[in-house]
Amino acid sequence: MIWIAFFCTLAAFLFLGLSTAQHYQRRFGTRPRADRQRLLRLIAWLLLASSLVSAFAARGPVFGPVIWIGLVIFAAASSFLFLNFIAPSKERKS
Amino acid sequence: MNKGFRQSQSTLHTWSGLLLGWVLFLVFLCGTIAFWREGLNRYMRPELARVEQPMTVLAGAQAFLQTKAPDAKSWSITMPNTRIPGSQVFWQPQPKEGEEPTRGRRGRGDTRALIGEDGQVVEARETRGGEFFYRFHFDLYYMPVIWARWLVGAAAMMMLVAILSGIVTHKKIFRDFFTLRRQKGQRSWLDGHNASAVLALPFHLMITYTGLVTLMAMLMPWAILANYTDRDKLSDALFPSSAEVERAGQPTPLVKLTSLVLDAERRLGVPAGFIQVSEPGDASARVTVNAASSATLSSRTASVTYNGTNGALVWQSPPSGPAATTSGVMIGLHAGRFADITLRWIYFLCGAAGTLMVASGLVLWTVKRREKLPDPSRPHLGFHIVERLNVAVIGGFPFAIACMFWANRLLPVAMKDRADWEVHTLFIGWGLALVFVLVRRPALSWVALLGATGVLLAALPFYNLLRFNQNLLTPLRTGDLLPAGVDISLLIIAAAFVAVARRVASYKTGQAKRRSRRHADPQTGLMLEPAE
Repeated sequence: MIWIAFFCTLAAFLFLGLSTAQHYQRRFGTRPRADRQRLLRLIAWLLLASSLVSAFAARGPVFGPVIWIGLVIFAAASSFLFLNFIAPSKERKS
Repeated sequence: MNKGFRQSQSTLHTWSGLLLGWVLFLVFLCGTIAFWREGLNRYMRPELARVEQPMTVLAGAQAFLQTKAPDAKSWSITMPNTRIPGSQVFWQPQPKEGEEPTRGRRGRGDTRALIGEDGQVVEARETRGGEFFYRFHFDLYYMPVIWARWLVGAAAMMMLVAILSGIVTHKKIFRDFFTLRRQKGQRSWLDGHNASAVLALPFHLMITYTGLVTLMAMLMPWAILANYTDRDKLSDALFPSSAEVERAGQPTPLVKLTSLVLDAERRLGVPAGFIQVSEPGDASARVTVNAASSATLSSRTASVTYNGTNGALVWQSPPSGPAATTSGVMIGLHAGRFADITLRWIYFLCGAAGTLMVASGLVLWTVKRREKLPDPSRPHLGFHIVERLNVAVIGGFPFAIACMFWANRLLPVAMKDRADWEVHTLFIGWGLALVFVLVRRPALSWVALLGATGVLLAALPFYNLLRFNQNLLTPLRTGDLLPAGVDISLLIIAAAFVAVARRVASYKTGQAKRRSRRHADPQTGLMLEPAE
């Protein structure tokens, strides 16, 4: 259960990061349309909400929120490092 | 109006961050290391084996105390587990007539002992281990504790101000959440500073605020003064305990502590952490078992008290009130004692991010101002002081810690006041670093100190391997990963230090003006380095 929470937060922050024009362009080559951006953000928030629910389910009401915040921090930092330091395959080839 | 407000917040952010920034760096760094307090306690005493059977140790502790201090005023026994190496026991002799009972937190050497995993006293090297980092991060060293706490408390308040004003100043941090512009000088610096701040912002706010809560009775005593005239009453309200007993003077054997602890663990529902026996060996003996602080979020743990001669339950701590629970939870969150290994790593990484945030903020002060200096080769005094202090603290203190780790390995085991000399070594190393910083150019001393730290830390695991004849596969076979885990972490940290030092050095050949700006640039890379 806690792993579900972890992967949800990780995916949520990757989606949030990709919804920014700069990272979207870097990964997909074009600027995102506004509705695409909104969709990515919506998925991200839904994932975040479900991760909170699964963290509660995994660790209960006392430790659940604590570990959820820890996971959020960890996921945010991991996606930050990934998006900024791991180049997309196209860039790596050139 | 809006601009003026943000401008004033920016000034506030700059100066509240700078003035006690160096103290903050020390507090953050040592506090971060202290998340591994128990692990380091064991790592720095390589003689100790992992405890597999806590009850064997407890029985051994009781047997030892019964021969060593049969008629003591009290015994204190910490319960070991796989994380806590052995059982630390203390005893307090009967006070002599007309003499105040001694109350030293550290305990004198002749009234304490360490019981190893086989229940026997271990002659481990004398060291303060991880406790040093824990105490240093709010008590500092070589100065009266109360001054240190005021200083640390002031620094923490400034930190809170700096964080809050920083959020206002850099209001774009949330929009630019995922932005890092690399190789862009001051811009990269700012992005790095923002990233280390905003990515772990919930942690930074939590740790600063709850850190203040741990000092609240000292920083804001008014609520207590208004409600409690008697300190004993306050103590009873905050830390309820069973009534003290008078010594009866009739020798009566003490029941087996192991059976009491088993009963207490069943009643409390969580493992025991700490056992206190008052008047052992007397008819009035009392045994109090406290729950382990790793088992609950709140740091105020429940306890039960037994009659020490027949094992009957005498007292059980009442559920604590809302205010006490709130502060207990906050202190628990701060110390993270409840954290399992995963959460503990997250705590540690967040602390590392906080340390980098303080460090990059301090360096950013010089980066921003260097451009505007009338003559960069002859900066004004204030710039000079900040620049050198940055190297001496950010570069020098990790170097001093590396020296201490080596002192822990190299000082003779039989040395007098050995534990104190380990700490003295840290400050001697720091003093040498300071002298070096004062006589050489910062560009050089950054490289030298960061590089030396990296080399010292990297060599330590190899020394351990040779000195203690460890087989590389033994930890995998026995499942005792702690010492090897610390060694591997040290290697990674050392690699980061060397990488940073190399980057600083490689910029030295560039233009003089750019050099100073870049030399600190890899500092933000410290966190990012392993991911590259």
